Amino acid sequence: MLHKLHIRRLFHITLLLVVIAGISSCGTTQFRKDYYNVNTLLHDSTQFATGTPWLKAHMKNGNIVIFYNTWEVDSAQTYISGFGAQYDFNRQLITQDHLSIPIDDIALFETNNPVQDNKGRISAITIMTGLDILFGVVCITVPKACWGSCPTFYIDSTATTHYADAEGFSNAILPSMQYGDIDALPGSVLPGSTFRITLRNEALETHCIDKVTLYAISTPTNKTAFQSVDNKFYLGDKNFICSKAYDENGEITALLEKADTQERFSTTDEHNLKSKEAIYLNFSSAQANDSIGLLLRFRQTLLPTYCYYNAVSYMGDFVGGINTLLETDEKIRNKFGHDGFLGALGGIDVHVWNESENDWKYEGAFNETGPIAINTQILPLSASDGKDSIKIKLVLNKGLWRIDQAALVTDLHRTQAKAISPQVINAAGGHEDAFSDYLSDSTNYLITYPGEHFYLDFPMPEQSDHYTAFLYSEGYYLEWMRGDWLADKNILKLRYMLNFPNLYLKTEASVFKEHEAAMEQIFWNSRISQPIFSSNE
Amino acid sequence: MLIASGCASYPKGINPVGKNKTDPYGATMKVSPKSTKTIIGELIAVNGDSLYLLGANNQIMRYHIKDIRTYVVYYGTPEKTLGWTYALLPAISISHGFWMILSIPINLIFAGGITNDVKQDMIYTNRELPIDKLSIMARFPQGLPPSVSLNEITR
Repeated sequence: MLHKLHIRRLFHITLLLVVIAGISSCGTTQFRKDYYNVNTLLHDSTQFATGTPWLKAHMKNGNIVIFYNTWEVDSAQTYISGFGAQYDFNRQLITQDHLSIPIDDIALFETNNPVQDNKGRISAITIMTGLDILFGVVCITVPKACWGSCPTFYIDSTATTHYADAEGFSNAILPSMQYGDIDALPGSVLPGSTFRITLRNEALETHCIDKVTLYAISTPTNKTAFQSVDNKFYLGDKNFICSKAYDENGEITALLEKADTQERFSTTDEHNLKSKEAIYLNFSSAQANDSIGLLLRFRQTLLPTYCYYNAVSYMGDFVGGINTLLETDEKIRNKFGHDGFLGALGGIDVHVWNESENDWKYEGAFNETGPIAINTQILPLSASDGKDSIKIKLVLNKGLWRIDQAALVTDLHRTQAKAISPQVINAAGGHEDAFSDYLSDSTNYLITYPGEHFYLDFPMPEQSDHYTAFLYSEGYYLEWMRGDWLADKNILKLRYMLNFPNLYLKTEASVFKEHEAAMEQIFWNSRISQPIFSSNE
Repeated sequence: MLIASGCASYPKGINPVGKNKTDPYGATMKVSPKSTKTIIGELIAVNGDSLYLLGANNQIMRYHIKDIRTYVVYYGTPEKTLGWTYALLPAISISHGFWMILSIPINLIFAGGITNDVKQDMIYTNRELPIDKLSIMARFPQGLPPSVSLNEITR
């Protein structure tokens, strides 16, 4: 099993080898040698690493005799003889034959005794090739871990994937699955300003974006705007920080009390990818009433991404036909969604402790797909029995969810948001405002390809002190088939996965477990930042 | 790339055969005198305080050693360039998925370092081969033969 540490080490070693190769490239090998004395030549020749080497006899008259590897000196050391070629001082060939030259006519001998061959370099190449192959094997074994997914949105155009502010329609893998998705954006937006969002395609996918709308909520200074799990907007009071949070492994309060991207997550159960776990939250100073809600900042791990890529690879070269089937048959299509496979994985179920009934009461669930952007949502709570503290239990799939913050919000009231369409859309490095018509016309789609960036400018209204912004994106995306995946074609397994998701999640558990740690590391380093080709073309 | 290109390389238009194995000529040499432009030619001999190059048009040029700023000696081409690493390593990178964005440049830099290292075996600078040892690279390492006139030397 490849752990993060191993991946990191692999790259450190690779870089080290490159540096070593670079440093050694500036070295030299001095292996030429001249002999003015035949005795010394004969002495050294017994120690030549490559046997009897070629020998150049530079003659006093400027001629040269080049002996190949058969030369010898007679016992009296008066002649050197062997097969060779003799040239004059202008290096015109005089003869090429078995030659015998008087030692006295020779000014010096020249030969070489290689002290360095390519063994060291071949070793370095072997190591490098081995590392390359090893890494290739990792990607071939876990091809789903080497690729990313979903359109991403950024307020800071220079931010990396780790800091994506929103992530669009992760489940819309076909035109018929198109849907809209709202994500809360951090911070507040000044009225009258132009608010710029950077849209990126960082995966091997074609993104077809039908609509991008900014929902702006006028937010008084002492209030905060929230989005609920069912995409309604609320204004509420400041959060109650969780006084104690714990799971089966102990206290996790420090991980959940702040929005600091220090996320609480667990790894999957090696026997079943559907195994549940519980997180308990205590809010000791909170007054339960009819207008409270639980706020969570959360996102998914790579488990759903892995399962989806598995499904596509099982399709193999039937991917086109199966996608057509999915497009035309709603019943089969639903087997992918929350009524099917995604439903088997489940969301984050919220239960509130009811003191009078001495039992947990189910309140609803957080369930937004996507491993990249952190979602900030609230779940309005109805359970209330007037006590001074509130206890909440979250029930979730092991290894499926990352939770950054859990808090209570109070005095929740529904509010309306102002919908703002992008005024200008520019492609990074492309023509000014070349794409603005795409999102304003419902029949047009903004098509983006891997590595492309677009800037969306939204004109903010004047009538408020400041706005809280939420980004709505609607569309679908088409996953690019990888050559590696074709080898995984297994229609029977695809049927098994979709018809019996619970059994599939059980049997696939050990396979996923093998790659779970390495997958996270690889995924976060696999995002495409430069266009492969452009929709401008 | 900086590492790979940081060392001396063959000058354009030069096929450096020189002193490699059974070649009877002197090494190809690039001399940068202190006051005149750089000259490329075959190293004929180093005699006392002078160095003789056979330049283009069979013209013998003599330089006083004290007037030479730098020089580079190219005395052959490597038998095995290991250039195949340029093809092999990036080809394997294709199996790395998105990681090829990183691994192809790394492999190219590595291949560049290796092939450049091989090439360096056949290249000496004045720092690596001091002037007092330079004669071994000459057509006449024993010095100019008394019986040979400079004007007669051609190639």
